Amino acid sequence: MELIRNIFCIKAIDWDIANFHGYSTPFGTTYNGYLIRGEKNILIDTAKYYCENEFFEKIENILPVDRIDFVISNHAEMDHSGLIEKVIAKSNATLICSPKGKENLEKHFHKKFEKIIAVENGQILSLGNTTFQFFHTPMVHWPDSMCAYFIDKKILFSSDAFGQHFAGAEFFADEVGSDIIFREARKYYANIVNPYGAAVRKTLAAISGLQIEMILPAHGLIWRKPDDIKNIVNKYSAWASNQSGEKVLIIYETMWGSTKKMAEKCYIEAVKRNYKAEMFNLDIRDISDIVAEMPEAKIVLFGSSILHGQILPKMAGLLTYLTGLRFEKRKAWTFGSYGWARSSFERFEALVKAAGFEMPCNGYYVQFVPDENSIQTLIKQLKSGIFDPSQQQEHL
Amino acid sequence: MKYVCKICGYVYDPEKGDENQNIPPGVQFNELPDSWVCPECGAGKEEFEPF
Repeated sequence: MELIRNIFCIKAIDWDIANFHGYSTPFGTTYNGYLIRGEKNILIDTAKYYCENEFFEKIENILPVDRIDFVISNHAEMDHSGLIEKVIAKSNATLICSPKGKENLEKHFHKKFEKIIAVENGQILSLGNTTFQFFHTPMVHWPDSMCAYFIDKKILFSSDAFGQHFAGAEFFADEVGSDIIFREARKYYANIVNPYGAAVRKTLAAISGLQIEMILPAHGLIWRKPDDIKNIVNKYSAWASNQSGEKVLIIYETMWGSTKKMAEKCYIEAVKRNYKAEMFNLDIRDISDIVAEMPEAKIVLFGSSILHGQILPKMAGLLTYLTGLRFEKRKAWTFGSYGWARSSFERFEALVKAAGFEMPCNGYYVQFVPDENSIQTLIKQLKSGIFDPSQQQEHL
Repeated sequence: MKYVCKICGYVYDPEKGDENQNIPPGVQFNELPDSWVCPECGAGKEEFEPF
């Protein structure tokens, strides 16, 4: 696909992937390489190793692979670097990456690349009749990450930043509904980039002085409409500040339906107070879809039953995942049901705190099956403990 | 005492130092020069906290 004259998207489409190391990808995903044809032919990033045939066929459709002069590697992770060695073997191209990229690619391929340029942050490099400027963007999303700005055309090859896991026939974000693509971009940010907000802020500062007419990410669709570019950059800025949103999320795992009953009551009470509320049953929903909503959350209610003296394993997994993702400025409350090991909830609360949530009060736990009295106590505790008193009660 | 980078998780261990930035073993975190950066992600010293 020729995006603009002599600039092509070499998109390897992973139609079959539904789980990207734990991240649910219902649309599949893409690994985007980009090819610039000119005095020097330049390939920016490659794809996963098993996309070899598709990737090389799409290049060959434009020019013979052995005519590639430079390969820019913005990111050493294997979904983008997987075919670098093969491209270089076929073309004898010079590899361009960050100094950390050089180190990490050598550790991935267990070899030294003979022709390699490790570019410094901000370095400008002319390759034939094209000029690039490189910006190191460590931790967006690995220490080696960088963006390549194609000065002549005002195009930013942004690597993982601004990407989405979204496979389809489309190439541009404006070819699908903006709700869909911004939601996928948010899911991507929340699950992959969120821990590195400080690094994102540095990246945004680095690119803020650039005129950008197109953002070409390494996954998903390309941003080209001025409004879309402005919106996605503004969204990244908001997400990187880790500000809480407005929603109440009720996330639970249940054994015999007692915790579910409490979760449903929490949901109704939240709606009655005019909160935007969403409920997630961990037996059914994927944790990456739950995390996708976390940037929008103000309050999170976690519910679990107790099994063998522990909270249920999917809840424990979610809390471990959230601890790594480092959301801040969100309040949380816990609830659940138990048979005899009530003290297990102390650990539950400690895990929620360790995941970065503010817990203004202890949770509420019911033995075996909640009766009417315990449901009334639950409602009372929600009102006095976690829900904002200024949040007005309205009719359903 | 060990210090961890809040950005990327790298741990500075004074017993090991940081050979690439000419820091010999035995240099405590608070003795590192201000120009020292996280060897993984380039973050400054201010991004570190006790591990």
